[in-house]
Amino acid sequence: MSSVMISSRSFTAAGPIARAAAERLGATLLELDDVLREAAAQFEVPCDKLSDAMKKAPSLLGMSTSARRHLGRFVAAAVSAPLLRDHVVLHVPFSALLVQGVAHVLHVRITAPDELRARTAMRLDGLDETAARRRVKADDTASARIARELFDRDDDDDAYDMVADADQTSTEQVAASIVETVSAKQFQPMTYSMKVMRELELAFRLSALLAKGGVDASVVVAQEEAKIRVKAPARRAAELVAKVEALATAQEGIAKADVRIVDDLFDAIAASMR
Amino acid sequence: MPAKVEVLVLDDEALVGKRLKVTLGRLGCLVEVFDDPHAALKRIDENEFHIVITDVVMGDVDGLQVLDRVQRRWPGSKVIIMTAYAMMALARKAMDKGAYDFVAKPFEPAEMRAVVVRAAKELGFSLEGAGAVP
Repeated sequence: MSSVMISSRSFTAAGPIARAAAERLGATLLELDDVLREAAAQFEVPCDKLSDAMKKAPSLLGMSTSARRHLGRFVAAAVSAPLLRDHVVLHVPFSALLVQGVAHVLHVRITAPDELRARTAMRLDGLDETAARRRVKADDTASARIARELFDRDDDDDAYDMVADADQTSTEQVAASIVETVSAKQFQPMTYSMKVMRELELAFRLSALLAKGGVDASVVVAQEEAKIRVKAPARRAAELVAKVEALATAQEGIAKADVRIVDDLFDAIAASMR
Repeated sequence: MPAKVEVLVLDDEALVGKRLKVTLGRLGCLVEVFDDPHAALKRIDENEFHIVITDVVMGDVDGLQVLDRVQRRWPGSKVIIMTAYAMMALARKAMDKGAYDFVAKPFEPAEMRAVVVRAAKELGFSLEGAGAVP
């Protein structure tokens, strides 16, 4: 079983690399649009809104941080589900931030020098050199801001297991390198890492179901217990706790739910990760 | 008499070994339990166990050293690492060094049982609860 997640900056030609790696592995390839369509269908959320959450730069009159995070929950659920299956290559942004701590998942970042990216942008989008350079810079700025809004972290190269420069090696060479790396023993599923993946998928799925029901919550699942921190006004506390507990324990794999109402959801998330 | 799967369990917490002896004994395995890593290493030098299940943090000997010793002495044996300090880096390191599997504590008996059954199958044994048949 191989689980590979590939992220890239814009105009790095990562698509062909992801396709080549999937083909060599005999794996299913899922691009971001596939994941967004799945999330939209499963949670009945407009696909274009999910796309905006993952791609559109934050702006003064644009999507709020809380709206982006709300939509991000559906994407996280749709990204994690395929990782429970055999042989999958996911080409999505921020992969190392989306799925963390699963030992057998190989996170790959495809990079390229800005010069090369600008030339690719000129070729693909018919831009002149100045506009292309501006576009590449704008894409990077947008990507960095989206990562911080969604994950409160930077999407740095050092979060990835493997960084490949598309300028230095051919598509086939990078794909071969990905296949060789993911075939190593340290990237084979183990009882521990499969359990972590199942618990992560369950947490994302429950978080998305709660978001669908209008409840903004952080969820961590471990040993069949869900720790759920809900941001809500105090007056709704009792009603909400009961509703959230019922939804959580209705999920297979969750026997118990510890639900707390918090003022600051991000403080609660940070505390749960310590 | 058909050969049985021989298992060595090493954990400095004696209760873990006791519980695994019962669980794996029900599968028909012959289980030797140690809570002293030095005694376990001596026994490993003397006897080829099909499967070795070892904790990681055990004072001056860690489970990865046990893994190394088993691999050098008995390359065909399967080593299962178990630990309460499960982290991605340690898991990858253990697998890279040749561990058969990596299991986080606490675990249900059924989890370890499934790993041992799978390991035994790869060694040519079928564990049906009443003894092993190669």
